[in-house]
Formats: sequence, C-alpha cells, structure tokens
Amino acid sequence: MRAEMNELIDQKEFEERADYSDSEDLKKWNVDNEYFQAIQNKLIQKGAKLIVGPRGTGKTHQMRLAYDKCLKNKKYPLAFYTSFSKYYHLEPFLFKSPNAKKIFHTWVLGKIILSCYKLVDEGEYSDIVFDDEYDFLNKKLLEEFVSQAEKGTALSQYDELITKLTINSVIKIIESLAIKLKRKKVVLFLDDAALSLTPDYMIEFFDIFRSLKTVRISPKASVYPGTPSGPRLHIGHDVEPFQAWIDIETDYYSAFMDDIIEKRSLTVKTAIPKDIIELFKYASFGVPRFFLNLLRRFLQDSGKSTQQKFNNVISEQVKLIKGEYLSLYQKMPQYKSIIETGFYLFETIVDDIAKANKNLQNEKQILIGIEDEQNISFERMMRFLIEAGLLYDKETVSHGESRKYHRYIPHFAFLMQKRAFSSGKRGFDSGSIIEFINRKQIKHPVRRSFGKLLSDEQIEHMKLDLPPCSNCGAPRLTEEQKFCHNCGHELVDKSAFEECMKLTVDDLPISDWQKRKIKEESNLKTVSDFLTMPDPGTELRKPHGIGPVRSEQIFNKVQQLVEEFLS
Amino acid sequence: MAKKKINYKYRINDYSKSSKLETQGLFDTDFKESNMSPIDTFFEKTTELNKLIADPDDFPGQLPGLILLGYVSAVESYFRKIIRKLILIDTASKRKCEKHSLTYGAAIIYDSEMLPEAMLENSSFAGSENIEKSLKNFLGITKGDYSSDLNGALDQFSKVCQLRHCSVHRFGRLGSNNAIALGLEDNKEYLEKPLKIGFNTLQEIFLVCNNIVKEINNFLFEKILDRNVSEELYGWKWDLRKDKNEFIKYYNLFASEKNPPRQAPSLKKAYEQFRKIFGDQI
Repeated sequence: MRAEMNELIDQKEFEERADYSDSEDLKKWNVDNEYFQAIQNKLIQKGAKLIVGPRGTGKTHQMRLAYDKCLKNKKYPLAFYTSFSKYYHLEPFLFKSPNAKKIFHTWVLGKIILSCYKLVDEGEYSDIVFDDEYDFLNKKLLEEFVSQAEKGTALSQYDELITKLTINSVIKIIESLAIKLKRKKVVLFLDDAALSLTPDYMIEFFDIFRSLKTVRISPKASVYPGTPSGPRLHIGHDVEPFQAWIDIETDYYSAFMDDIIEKRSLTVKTAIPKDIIELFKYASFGVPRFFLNLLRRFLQDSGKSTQQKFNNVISEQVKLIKGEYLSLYQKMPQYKSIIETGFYLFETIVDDIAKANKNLQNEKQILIGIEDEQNISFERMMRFLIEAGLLYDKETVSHGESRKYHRYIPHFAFLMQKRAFSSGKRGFDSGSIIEFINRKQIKHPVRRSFGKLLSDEQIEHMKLDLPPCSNCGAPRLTEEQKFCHNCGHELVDKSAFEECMKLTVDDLPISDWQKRKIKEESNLKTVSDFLTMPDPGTELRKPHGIGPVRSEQIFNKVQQLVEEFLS
Repeated sequence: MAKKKINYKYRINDYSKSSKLETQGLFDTDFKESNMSPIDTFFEKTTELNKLIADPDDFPGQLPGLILLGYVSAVESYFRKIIRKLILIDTASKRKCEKHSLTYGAAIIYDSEMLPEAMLENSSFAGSENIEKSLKNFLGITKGDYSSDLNGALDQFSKVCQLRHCSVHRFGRLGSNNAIALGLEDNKEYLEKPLKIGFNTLQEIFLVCNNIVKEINNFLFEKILDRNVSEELYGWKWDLRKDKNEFIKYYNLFASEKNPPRQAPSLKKAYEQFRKIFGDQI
C-alpha cells in the first residue's frame, strides 16, 4: 500500500509549478472553462495587460499556454516569452553601483532580445537574422551579460551593450521580425514581473513596459495582487489588469478544481475521500498549486484517521503560508514590524469571522469590511497581506458620504483551522463543513476599523524598522535618508540578497544531525559556499553518512531556500 | 547753442546706506592646505552640509537650494584639487598641461605646488560636459575611456547641475534651457516654477554628488595607473620595497580614510592587485 502511495505521489501530474513542466503537459492539464478562456483571450488580444494573482494561481501556466498557441498557429500574434523571476539577483547593484537602474534596464531588454532568439530557434526560422545595425546584440554576449548580471559581478566589459541597447532598438527588432514572419501583431509575455521587493527596479520595469506598447506590440506582464506598478503607469488608462486568481465564491469554483484532477488524470479519487477533496478545494483558496500540494500531503500523511490526516495537512499548510508571509521581512527588513502587525491583524480577522459564523443558522460569513483610513502604514500592511494571497480583495463599498469599507475574504485554510465552518459541533463532520461553506453569504460583512482589529500597543509598534547611523547611533528620520542628520556620515544600507548569501548551515531546512555533520566534516559554512563552490556535491558527501542521495536532497533544499528567498 | 540735456531723476526706492565691505581679511590666512586626499577633503566639507537640516518637517524653504550650491561647490573643489595634484605627480598629465598658458600674475604669486590651480581658474566642473572637457584638456583622458558606472553618475550629476543653475541664476526658477537639458517633454509644466526641494530629495542630491566624486576618484586611480604602465612612464620593478615611493604618491592621492564603514584598502593590497594585473604580464 505504501509503495503504491509513493508511486502515486511521484506522478509528474503532481507537479505544482508550470515553470518545471513541459508544454505538452501544460496543454493537457489546462482547465478549459469560460473563465480561463477569457484569460487566454486577454493574453492574446491587443493592448497592454496585467495578469494578476498571488503565487501558484496559474499565471505562468496561462502565459506559457498562450505562448505555445501563438508559436504554433500563424493566425495568432507573434509571441515572445520571458521571465523576470531572477530580478532580485540584481538587487546588490542598488548598493554598489550608481548605474544599477541602467544595468537592470539592459538586463530586461537583453532578456527580451534573448526571447527573440529563442523564438527564432524554436520556430525553426533559422534564416531570420537581425539587421546589421544590431550586430552588437549577439546571442552569446547577451547570455553572458544576463548571467553575469544575475551573479551581481562587475559588468564593465558590457559597457557598449549597456549604452547601446535601448527600448527603441528592441521595438525595431521585434517589429521587423513580425514583418519578416508575416504576423500583424506581437504579444510580449513578461512573466514574474511583480518586482515588489525592489521598488526602484519596479518603477524602471513599468516604464519599459509602457514604452514597449506600440500599435503592433502588446506587452503582458504577470504581477501579484496589490503590487504597485510605479507612478507613471496608469492602471486602466495605460494598462488593463485582469485576475488569474479564481474567486472562491464563483459558481463553477468546485467544478474547476475537479477539472484539475481530471485533466491531470490524478488517481486520488480512490485514495482520498470525496468530502476531503471537496474541503481541500476551498482550503487551497483558489490556488491550484496549493490544491495539488494538499492532495499530495494528505497521501503522505501518517495520521491514524481521516480527521487527523486532514487536520495535520491543514495545519501544515497554514504553517507554510504563514512562514512564507513572515519571510517577507527578511527581504524587506525595514517593514518588519508592519509585516508582523499585519499577521496579528489577519489572525484577528480570522477569529472575528469564525466567531460571527457561530451565531448563523442558514447563512455564512466570510467577508471582513475594514474602514478606509487613508493611512500609509495601514495601506502598506494590507498590500503585503493581499500580495501574499492571505486576503482576497473584493470591491470597496461606500457607506454614506465619508465612510468607505474595503472588503476582503481571508484565506480559507486559516478559517478551517479555526473551525469557522464547523457549526459549533465538537467532532469532525466533513459533510456539514461543506454544507456550511455552500451556504449563502450574509448581506453585510463583519465591519471593523483598524483601531478595533489592533490594540493601541500594536498600532504603536507599527513603524519603519530602519537601522540607526552606524557612526553615531542616531535613529534615521525617513526611509529615504542617505546621510546622517546628526554626524553627517553616509548611512549604511544592507543588501538583503547578500544577507541571504550569509545564511549559515544552521539556517538551512535540514535535520540537526545533517547540520552538525556538514559543519564538522565539510568546508560548507554559508549559503554562498553552496552556490559558489565548483562542486558542492562532492563537498557535501565528505561527512560520514551523507551519500549521493542525501547530498542531492540537501543541495536541492539549499537551492529551494535561495529561490524562495529571492523570488 | 545746444540745449543742455536734463536727465530725469527721481528716487523711486529708498536710499542706500554706506557700505564698508573690504575683501581683504575675509579669507582665513591661518589656513594651511592639508595633506588630506581630495576625496577626503570633499567628505569633510559635505559632512558639515549634511548636518544643516536636522528636522525633515521644519526648515526654511530656501535652505535646500543653498545647501545644493554648497554641495556642487564641494564637487568642483574636489576636481580642482585632484587635477592640480595629478599634474604635479603624474608625468602624462604634466605633459598634457605643458602648452597651457597662465596669467603673469598667477605665475609670480603662486608657489609651484599651487600653480596648476591657476590654470584651472577658467574651468567649470558644474556639468558633465565641463567635466569631460577638463579631464581631456588637463589629464588627457577622453570620454571613450569612461565606464558605464561613471557615465551613469555623470548623467545624474548633470541633473543636479541644472538645478544649481536655476538656483544661482534664476532664484530657483526653471528656465527653458534647463528644461530642455532635463527633457522638455517631461518638464514643460514646471517652466518658470520655483524649486521646491524636500528633505528626501535633498538626500538624493547629496547621494548623486557623492557618487560622482566616488566614481571619478575610482576611475582616475585605475586609469592613471593603467596609463602609467602602458605608456612606460615609470620603471616599475614589481616589488613593493622598490616601488613603494612611487606607488604611495598615487595611493595617498586617491585613498579615503573618511568614508566609513568601508575601510580603505591598504597600500599593500592596492599594490598587490596592481602588480598582479601588470607585473605578471611582464
């Protein structure tokens, strides 16, 4: 039975990330309902668009599907696909190069040109060459530049490229390729473009995005909900956003999640009780990646009863989401207290909704309405919660002339953990939880102000966590301050990327025994050692008891940690 | 007889008072030129300017414009000092300046140490074009040699210089030439509007001025030593004990002790890298 289970878990159909799947599988697994057809249309049609959703909602999946469709069918626009997921690798330049934004600019444009080369290669258009004036844009040089930039190393040898590669030259290359390939329109799929950790790059990126839009070229970027897009890109005017994050309240929500199982031919239906699958659909909160993760974890869980397994899986999921959310402050230490307070606020929302449900007979409560206060710290706090997918942003409602309520649905996994849908019953009754979830939403949300959701002390605690002057110890006056107002010395800002590289073996998600052995019997001390050592695999196998399998597992965990940290 | 011209005279504003301003005595005769490197002199000057606003919400509106002038002036002083000192120690720079003329007055007053300063009197360093011209004229270093980091810093510094121009000549208002230089399309709505610099923007301006000095300083250190070797201007022995007297002149001219938290690399380390790049090839 265990072996069968393992075989089931190892199915590639459980792959949660579109960037690790091949295009044939993506096509086969795609859930082709009206909602997702509309997303495909938005991606292919004319105009600049933003595809919006937190991690795991299928943005990459949708973009890659649209790209493949365009690649294979000449009636669609000419399409280019590129991902900017490694943008954070360029963050150290902000601390050591006055030219950081120009380097980033060239990196973005260079990646787009490389996607042109990719299209030429994949589309078997080997006879297509760029015009002579773009001789400096040879593929090898661009690949080298992108790779060096992502390593954060000195780039003086690419000065010519940095000076010459302009948005205009990219537009000209793309448009001339479209003419040569006889396509009237072009779509640019710019994936992983949230860039929320580096506002300087984010502004630069959306300036490029806006400038790439021409009569012929339609740029499409994937972003997180709530992610700002810079002061010069006007949402609604310059660009139309649309949701890839399916609302848990839509009629076809359950059927859509069923389709994921069907399309991936997952044989879980025999191994997992029907009601549990149904509950997992809601616990995944519209995020297919979480749904697949929940199913897999349930199969792996060693709990004695269905109830125990379900509870274990939900609390693991809650822990995972919480951990991911709180890890934000490692990347943006200046917002540590805002991020932490945000989680208190979220927990109170979940508690208040769970309590509200206790008194309901035939209706349910899943909405919180928070009074608008025009306070930048509160706005920032809500943005982090929305971006991380903990709150689903519903439309804002006005009550009277001056009162506005922003309405949100909190993540269902947290509501389930708080037994928000358990009708006050003591035992576990999956059927009645499903029945509760399917009830009609009560007319008004739970209405709260920030002052009611948070204590005075918590609000007081919410401030920017800026390091004091390293010379005289004076606290900083503003986030943008560069020089100390007290002693006049330059203030020191740390690169979060470089902080990640300094994480030690003790910080790795591996067992204590493994940590001890690596520390005692190898030269691997920090994350940077794992990534820069020419052959970390051999080094990892030095400690007695760590063989090829374990060393690969550990190395994968380090890579995963870095990827999560830097994404 | 020609009619005597009578000029219209009418005092429309108040009378002026007698002034006793004399410039003698306004300059500190006790001042002695320090041996500090030009970059550290810059840091010393600007550290004082950085302290002039201690409350982001409370300062006179004209103050940031005046601090900006001080900052650009500190950058200009840096350029004058580094070029003067290079002309004194660097053979290629000295040769480049041999044909430049000096006023007789400067020639008889200045000592040899300060004489190159007189040559720079008519030069300005407020703007990237002026900087490029001066580096070419006095040091023989052309724009083609600049790194993209330096070009980036120069572009930013040019913006600050446009603001300085508005401050010096137009009491802060944006003129058409400044708007054209800053990009007319994005700036046309600000034409003839006065500068309004907040605390954070002023901090950004400080950073731009710091960057240009740091980038130029680094660039010149590398470039001048590079040229020294490639043009065989000195017989380097590639042994610190023998080369120290020559190398230390350049090291002391460029190294900074006043830019915490990063410690200046030691002379030994800087020389080691120099030897590694050039000495090993020979």
